[in-house]
Amino acid sequence: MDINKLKENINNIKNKKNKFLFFIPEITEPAASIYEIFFHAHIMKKEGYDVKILVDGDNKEKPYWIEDEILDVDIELASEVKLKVGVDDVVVIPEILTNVFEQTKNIPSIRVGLLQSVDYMLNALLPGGTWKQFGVNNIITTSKRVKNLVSSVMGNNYNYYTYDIGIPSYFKNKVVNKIPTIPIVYRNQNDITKVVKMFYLKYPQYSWISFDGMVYENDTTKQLSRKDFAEKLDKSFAAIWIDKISSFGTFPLECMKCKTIPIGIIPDIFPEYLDVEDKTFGYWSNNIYEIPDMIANAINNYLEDTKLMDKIIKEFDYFDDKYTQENSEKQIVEIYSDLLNKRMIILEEQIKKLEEDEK
Amino acid sequence: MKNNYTIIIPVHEFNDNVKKYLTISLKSVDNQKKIKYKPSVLIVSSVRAFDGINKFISETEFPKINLEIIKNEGDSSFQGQMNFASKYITTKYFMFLEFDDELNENYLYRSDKYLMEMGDIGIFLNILINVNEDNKPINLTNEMAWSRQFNDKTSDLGFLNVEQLIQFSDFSISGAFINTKIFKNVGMLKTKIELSFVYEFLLRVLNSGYKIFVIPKIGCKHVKDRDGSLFKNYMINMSVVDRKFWFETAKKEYFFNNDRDIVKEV
Repeated sequence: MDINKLKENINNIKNKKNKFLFFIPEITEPAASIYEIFFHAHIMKKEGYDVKILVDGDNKEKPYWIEDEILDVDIELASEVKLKVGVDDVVVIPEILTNVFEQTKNIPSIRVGLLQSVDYMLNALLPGGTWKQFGVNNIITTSKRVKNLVSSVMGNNYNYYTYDIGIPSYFKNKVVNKIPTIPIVYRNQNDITKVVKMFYLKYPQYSWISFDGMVYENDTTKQLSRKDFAEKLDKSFAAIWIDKISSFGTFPLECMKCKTIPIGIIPDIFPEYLDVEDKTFGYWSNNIYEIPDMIANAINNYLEDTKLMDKIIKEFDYFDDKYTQENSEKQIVEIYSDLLNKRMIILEEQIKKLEEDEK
Repeated sequence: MKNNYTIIIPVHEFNDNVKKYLTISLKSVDNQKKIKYKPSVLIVSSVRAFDGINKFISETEFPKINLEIIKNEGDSSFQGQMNFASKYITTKYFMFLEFDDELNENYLYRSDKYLMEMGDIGIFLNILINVNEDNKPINLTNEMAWSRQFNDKTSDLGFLNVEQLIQFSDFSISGAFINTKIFKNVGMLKTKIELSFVYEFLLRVLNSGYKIFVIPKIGCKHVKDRDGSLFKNYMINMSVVDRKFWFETAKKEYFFNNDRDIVKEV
């Protein structure tokens, strides 16, 4: 190992001359997890680093559904880009891209696994496989509960970092008079179809209430951009979320920021933000067959402006200054700074050792 | 918001049954939650009901309402009563309330928000719960404006349009806020049309370029097919052919603002 090279690496880190490479899967539909990676990239670019998004696929078009303010980072196809990666560079790979973990395992860098979904992580790993075998020692998660679950499974010999997701500030309540339509967000089409059918069967008096797939009116195959999504969500009085395998659940938070009532199935990993004493934060159940009754109850409360409706909405104020992008940004910067500091310490130790060896 | 509307309750006759319902109706206005002003209520009474109503009002207390009674010595049909009362209205809107309607306790508070937010609306309808005489819910009215069967674009949900009304005539103005100026501009309710005069009025308002919006809230409970009510009497005394005639007439007359003589062919 070359002492000068190591010193150069340290200087690169100190002078922010190193690179941040964020891998993403090919972008198809809007997904909070992809948005989050772009958000990391945007923040580190803002911090003055050379940042790139590398797509594991054939399409490097900028996603239309992310706001321009976040899309200030170059996007390249991982298969085409030629980059020199050093030990001072940071490579961030989402849990779903095990193939990228494998392909890049010999590249010297600060390797970080970004873990937003336990389900995806487990699906992507082969039985008996670990992230250690891909040279990943650092794991960033977006939830303490995920961190606890993963560390109980993968062990404590990883550097775990956790930060709070930030919901963009355009998820806020501006609309005074909300309308009786219900946006739906789901992982599995069958679940939502079942709920809607049961609802109309059991409550024919509410057959005029429509469910909204959150797509564009002039192109129903195209999902709304994040900003349009937020605007539409704000207009509706309630929204349904069915995602049993979610590891965090940004959608209910987005709802509550808009003062829209979330009606949902409690995921296997209970969202930590719902765990507040004396608060219910909308309508929640473990049983999908109870969802139609909860929808009908919410409609009743909405149509009659009951005290319960006021109470439910008032509870959402709790999140007004929580899960903001400002807080999130601060925490993300701290995490990457810590990773870089640790790398500098390692490099300095290596230099010291080499210098001693030379003597 | 203060004195932005006046509630009109037309009363054609007065007896124990009317007294029972009118008490419930006025109490529902008196018991409105969250509003910080006294709603104005104008009871328009026919000559024959006037003494009874006057006595009832003087003996009953409704402390949170500004209540007035006027005597209509002219045409005491439903339309005649409403047209007569509208001449006394000085507020931007008036609300029509049948004496057997019971307002939802939060309706006025909620409606204020719509009246403030959506200034260019000619008529604000609301969603009614129809109940039977035992106060049991039967169905809803006006909710169809929020159905995608009628409006395939989310942006149009809640608004009526002529095409919609031509297909589906069952909309009610009970508990509706009507812009006073627009009511007069379009020629008020037509006294020469029977049964379908509300339907014709709604078509005429739309045809005149004004908007009709359904506030997606339960505005009031309405006793459907109450014995002695105008529409129950139509159902009993009017043949199917005549009913059809009046709806067909409405579809022709809404192009005219004046209350034209209707020639009924035999």
